[in-house]
Amino acid sequence: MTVGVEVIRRGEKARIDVLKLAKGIAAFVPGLIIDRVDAGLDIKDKPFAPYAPTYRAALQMANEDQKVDLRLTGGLINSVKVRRIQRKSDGIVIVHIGPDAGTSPRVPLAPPWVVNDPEARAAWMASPPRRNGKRGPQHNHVGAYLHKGTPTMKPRPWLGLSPTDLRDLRRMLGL
Amino acid sequence: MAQGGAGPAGDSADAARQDLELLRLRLERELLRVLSALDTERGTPQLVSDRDAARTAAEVYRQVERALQEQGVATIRSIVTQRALEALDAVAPGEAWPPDVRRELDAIVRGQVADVVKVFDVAADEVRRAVNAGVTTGGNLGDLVADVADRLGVAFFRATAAVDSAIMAVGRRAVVSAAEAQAKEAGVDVVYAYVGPTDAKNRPFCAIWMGRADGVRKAVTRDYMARLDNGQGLAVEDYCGGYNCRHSWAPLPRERAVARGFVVYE
Repeated sequence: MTVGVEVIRRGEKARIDVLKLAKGIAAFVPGLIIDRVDAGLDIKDKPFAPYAPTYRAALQMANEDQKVDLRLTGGLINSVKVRRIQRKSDGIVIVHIGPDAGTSPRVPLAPPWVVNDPEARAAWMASPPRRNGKRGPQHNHVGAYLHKGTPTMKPRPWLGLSPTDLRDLRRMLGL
Repeated sequence: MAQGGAGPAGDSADAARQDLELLRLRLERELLRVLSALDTERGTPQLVSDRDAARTAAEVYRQVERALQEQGVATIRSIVTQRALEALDAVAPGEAWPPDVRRELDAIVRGQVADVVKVFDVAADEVRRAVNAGVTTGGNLGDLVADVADRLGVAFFRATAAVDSAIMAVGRRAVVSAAEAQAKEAGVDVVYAYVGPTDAKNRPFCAIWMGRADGVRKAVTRDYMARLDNGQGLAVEDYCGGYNCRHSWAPLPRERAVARGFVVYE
């Protein structure tokens, strides 16, 4: 899953160097996305839907940050980079930006039945499972689920440029 | 239509892990072959504990060390270098990095290769001690093989963490270098915001920069970043708070950083 930023050059005389622009986009867009998600804002600059109380409790039990910033290991957000720069014959240059297909170490979080059962919860807290080197799902899969949501999870559209991102990108590119 | 690009950093890290796993299996097989040369009591797996057996053990250890050095270190060197360069290309596909940036990135890769090589030196030493202990106490060959496999597993766990760190470090430096070069060209005032989780697991350095104590998020200029010290002897530009740090630097226009509440250090 990637988001494409298109730079279009038409006609013979180009007023801008599209490749230079594409490089600028490649350098700045990942930072803008990472910063916005870190601030808990979606691609409309609106706050992300809050986490479910059970999930928040599970995060708390694992001493993890409960801020809605789509981070657990940080692997998904840290992997947001340029995936490829595509030059088309009609002068359009597309910079594909998104998470990678890599994985991060799985973080053992208490399942809902443990969170909701005081006895099971106490047992879990007494000897919380440690990371065992197993890997979690691919970052691009996690990113797609978070972006689009699932029947049990609200969508949190994060991959793209919000109006503020676009304004700041234009400023950084001198447009 | 032309396309540019290479394997992204996380893919590179996963590919490196697979390379390491293959290496581990190869080394385990080689060690098993070498260890089976140890003298045992006739018809039992009990190791013989005499002078001849000690000589055999010394020879076995030399072979183990050679296997780790020849196969392990050489392969690791190539894995780290190749995968880190792939990660670098993912940040700016097809980019011809300026020579000074290239030198800095090469230095990171060399440093990381040295770190991973150290892991294998420690593993070789541990294997030597395990073989010595097995032979001097007349232990069981099966137990010794299991012990050596365990130690090799730990060495690979450490090597994997070091390779992950190398790839992350190169990726971070490449992001900062690419942003800095573009900002200069466009004449934009760019600062670097410290972003990532704020929780009880934060190292002291990260806790300060994420504003855990004072509630003040912090950003820096490139010059200030180069002067920061995370107390771990690792460059903050590349490792943030240290090995396996979950934080990163987000290049932002100064105005946006200030509007977001970041205090800029310069």
